[in-house]
Amino acid sequence: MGIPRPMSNAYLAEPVQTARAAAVLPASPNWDATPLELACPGFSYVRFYITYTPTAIGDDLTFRIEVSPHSVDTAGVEDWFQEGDTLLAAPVLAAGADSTNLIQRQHHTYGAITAVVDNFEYLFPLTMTVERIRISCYEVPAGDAGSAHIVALFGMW
Amino acid sequence: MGIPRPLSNAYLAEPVQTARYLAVLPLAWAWDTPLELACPGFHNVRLFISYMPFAAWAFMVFRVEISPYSSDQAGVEDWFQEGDTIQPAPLLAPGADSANLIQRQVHRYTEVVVNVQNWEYMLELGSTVERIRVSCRENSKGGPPGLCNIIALFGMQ
Repeated sequence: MGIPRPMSNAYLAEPVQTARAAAVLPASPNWDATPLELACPGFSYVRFYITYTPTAIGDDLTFRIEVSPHSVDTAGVEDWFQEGDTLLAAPVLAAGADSTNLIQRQHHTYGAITAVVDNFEYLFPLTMTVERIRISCYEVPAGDAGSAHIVALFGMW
Repeated sequence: MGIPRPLSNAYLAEPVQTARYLAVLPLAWAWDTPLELACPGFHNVRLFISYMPFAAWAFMVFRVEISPYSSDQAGVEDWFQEGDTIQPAPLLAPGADSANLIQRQVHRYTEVVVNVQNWEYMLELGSTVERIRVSCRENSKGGPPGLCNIIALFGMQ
């Protein structure tokens, strides 16, 4: 039985969406040039199912997630925003002082355990506040020609 | 009164599902053959784990794998291990993107008493998972192999 997705009929026929077709990874620092865009209005979560096929143990796959508040690219505004990461500047709060957090853009690096196929997942909350999402990748070291395949499943709650 | 589960009638009759029957744990780092539980549309799953070690300092390890497909599909990867994301440094560095690490994760429980011990583990599904399975193994520290039983309760909120 499939999952009803009343807030978006984009994925009713096929809930498992391709976020990155299986292909050789570009070498760092070059991200995938044309990441696929997935519409996700009204969804609460997306989970990426990531298959990394390195050519050597110790190779790294790095990915970043970008989201857009616009359903299509819109002239005159910024369209894509990278996942943010917030942490306290100090490991503990100080009583009687404002808390100064740091926020930076973030990406994620997976180090290969095998030289065959590693499968793992990453859950990203959408909270019905994202219109489009895309994920782009690169690999270290250059020239190793590992590949990655990513599928996405969107959830309502 | 049972919990209504309008998105899946798989568990209406029995909300408490068996994720691992009570049985001896495999040794020598061989994972056991896990049961598959369908979970389309569910938001959370809580695993209720009972471990019966027979030697001091014995420990068991479990891993959670999930699938975006309701059944195994030809030509694609079907199972993805739970990921774990963490920053390599405890603090963010101002003026630099946050480079997180992501790896597959397992969970290890070391006995506190040589008797049955019960604990729970919750995993957020976010209605982005079609199937889930839990597999286990043990290091009995030279003693006889221990026992483990895992039941699962799926939740909508």
